[in-house]
Amino acid sequence: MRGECYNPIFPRDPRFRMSSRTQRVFFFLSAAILVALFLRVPAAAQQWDAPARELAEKIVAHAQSRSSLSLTVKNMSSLPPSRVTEVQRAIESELRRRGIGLVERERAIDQARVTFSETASDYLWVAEVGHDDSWEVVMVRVPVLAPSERAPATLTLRRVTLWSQPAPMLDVVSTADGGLLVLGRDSVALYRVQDRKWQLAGAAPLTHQWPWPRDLRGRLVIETGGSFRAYLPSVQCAGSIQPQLGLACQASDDPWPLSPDVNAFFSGRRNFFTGAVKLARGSQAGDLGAFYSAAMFPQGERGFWIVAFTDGSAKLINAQGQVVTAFNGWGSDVAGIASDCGSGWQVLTARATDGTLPDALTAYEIVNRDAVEAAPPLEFAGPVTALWSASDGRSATAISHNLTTGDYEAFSVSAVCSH
Amino acid sequence: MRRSAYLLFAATSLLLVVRPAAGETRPRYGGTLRVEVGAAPSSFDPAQQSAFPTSTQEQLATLMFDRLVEVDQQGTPRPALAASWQHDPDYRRWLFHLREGILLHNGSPLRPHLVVMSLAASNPNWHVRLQGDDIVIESSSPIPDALMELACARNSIVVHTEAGAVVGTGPFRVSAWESGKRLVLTADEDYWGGPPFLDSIEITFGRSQRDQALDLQLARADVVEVPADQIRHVQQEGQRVVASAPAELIALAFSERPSVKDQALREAISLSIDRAAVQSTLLQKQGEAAAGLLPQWVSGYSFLFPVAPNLERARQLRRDLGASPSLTLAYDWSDPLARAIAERVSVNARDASITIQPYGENLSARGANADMRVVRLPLASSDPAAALNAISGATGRQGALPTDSAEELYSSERTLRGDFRLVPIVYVPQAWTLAAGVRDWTTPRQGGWRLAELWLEGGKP
Repeated sequence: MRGECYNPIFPRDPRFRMSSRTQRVFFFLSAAILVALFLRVPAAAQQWDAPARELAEKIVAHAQSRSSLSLTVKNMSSLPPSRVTEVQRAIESELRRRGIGLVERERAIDQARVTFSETASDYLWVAEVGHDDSWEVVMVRVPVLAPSERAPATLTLRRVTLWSQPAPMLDVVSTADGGLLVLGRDSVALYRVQDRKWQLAGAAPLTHQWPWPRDLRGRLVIETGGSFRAYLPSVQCAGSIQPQLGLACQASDDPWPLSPDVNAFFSGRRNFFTGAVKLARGSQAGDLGAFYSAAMFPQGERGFWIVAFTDGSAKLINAQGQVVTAFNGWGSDVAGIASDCGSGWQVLTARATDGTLPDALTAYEIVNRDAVEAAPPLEFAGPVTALWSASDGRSATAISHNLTTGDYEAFSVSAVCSH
Repeated sequence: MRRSAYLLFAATSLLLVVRPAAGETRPRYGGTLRVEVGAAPSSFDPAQQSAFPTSTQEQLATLMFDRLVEVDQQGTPRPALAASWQHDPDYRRWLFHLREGILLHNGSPLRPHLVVMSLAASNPNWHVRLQGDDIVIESSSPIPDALMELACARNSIVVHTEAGAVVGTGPFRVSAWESGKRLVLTADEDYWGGPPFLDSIEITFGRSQRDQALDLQLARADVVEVPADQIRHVQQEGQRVVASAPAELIALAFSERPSVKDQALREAISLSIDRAAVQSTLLQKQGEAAAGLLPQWVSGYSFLFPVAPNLERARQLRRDLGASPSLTLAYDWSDPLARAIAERVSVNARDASITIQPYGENLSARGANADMRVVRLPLASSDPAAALNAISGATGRQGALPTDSAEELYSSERTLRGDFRLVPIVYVPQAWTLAAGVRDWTTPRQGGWRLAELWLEGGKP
């Protein structure tokens, strides 16, 4: 409905010329009528047609009188009152279409007492049909309304949905040829657009000797020439996407890339980096202490690291190698993104909630050794289960477990400037 | 960039300067969760459960044993011990392919024939057999809800070894057991679903409500039960209470004794009960008055069963019966709510000229020797068909109920409750009070524990 086009409101025939004031009045009246029509027949109303028809058929089958039936409606479900009216009208219409005369209860021979109820998974419309002590019960199951999309807020953090699926995801990356790689608990899947829809182009299992840790983490890194690597606890896989998806996994304790320059060792049976870090090139190494995530914050020649440690602290480490400060209330996932806004670099962090609550990403900038909130929080419908900086450094991939739908949703999060 | 990378290494020796600030999202490993409950089960073996398994028994089963299928928070079946499955078009034959490499807690592999034995024991109506390494379940009647049924605690895969031990494949293994007193569970580091975050769980049984509340206050327990009638009070105290939807049926279960063999007598007792008063007064408006066997949020039609007492009809039935002896009603002595309900039933029945004598017994240790007893039935599933079939099984009925459509389900429930062997009174939520450091506690809508997902704030990384 929303995509429909309408004919021009003003006729082009010169015989219909109106004064500009009349044109304005006509315009607003026409617009008001169109809006009213649009609101009166929402697309959702069509959702009730089939179940209303089914319930009406069942009521008619049990009604002894076709000429005088009263219909009463009670709502015990989460169906909004506006929808209740729609459904009631739909049922009445279907009953009349079947020759049923609807009358007031006092004049009715039969009654149809309809209750809009609900189970854990569906709406349940129940009709008690009959009179006095003689009642029949008929029911219709109706799929629940899809949760309404949250109204987009004016945010400086923007998210774009990359992928959504019922099974957990650890990371999602776009490939150079327009595909999408999805790292799951058990496989890497490659999706490509065919016929304007994402289609599975291949899936390769992740082989591993030991059970995965419960809070499994993993990340995908795109390499040159159509190849990629998947990093998982004690396992690394080398993959290719051309000519088709291929994957070879092996046990490996090699470090994961934290940034183009720094690699960090990940615990084989847990959900954190051990703290041991080394340069991607060369042999220099050090030990930070166990941490969940780290983000680099370059400021000209100076630089900072923000590290979220397993003891719950998030610390800012300055160019002199000193811990400058610790941040309160940060979650254990941080990721850095570059942007054209503010200082040109923001750190994203999840909230310090647990996995049972909706989460939000907040963008901070480091100003005078302090973290200053740079954008309103970007809310998610569930906990953020993974947050990785993208390889281009200008966005981060956030995966959230939607507590309403149960799906895992991957987003590309970037900062946009509001002028 | 490169310069910053070097700076990282310079930083590594200076990280303890600033005191850590609180804030964490990812689960932390380690720690022992201390749980206290009122029940005092004499066995953790699901095969040893009485006809009416308690919530505690079902909760224990989910810690130590797996099922072929599990149900997620959205009520969708997910693979557990079964990696995949398929069924024939009319749902009479199901084939399950087992996950590979599963080990029992005693270290031996979980062989498919052990799964067959376990399922056959808990489902006498099904024909369970091996087909190669796959498990085949066949039934003379369609079982469209087989997945939901297999996800129920009663279908836990339990292996009885020749040495008499009871072992499973769940996320925790038994390391100490004192019947009716204490159970210590240790995380299985090799669990196929990933080792739990907790190191161990200590469960103390037979604790009174007062002792549980005291131990929580003194930091001697992390999780304690909250009776439904205390939920509001505990919340008002500012404590952290988590509760399921109404998920435990409190009902009268009639024995097979001659004194209560007359269906009209049982119906008269049912008609005399003022369920709304039980819910509003005894339960402080928690839960829901129940005349149906399933709660409203599961069936969607429970409102069709009237909860209001019908004393006129009850008295009429009683008069038609002629002389009737004084009846006995047992309740679990450790369950104050059951006692209050039993006493209320007795008072209500008196209004219908029926004499009922309530008395307390240790029902979790031995069965009652009474005409009827107050039972608590945990909701086996959020799927109405699976839940109703579980109740049907608990009442000793054979064969699956027809539950294809909502009308069939309603009809089956009417039939099931029609003999008044099991008289629903009220559905109550399962509720717990949690210590501050307990994180990621999720309460499935139908109740139960998900302790493998839980972690403690003080745990070590």
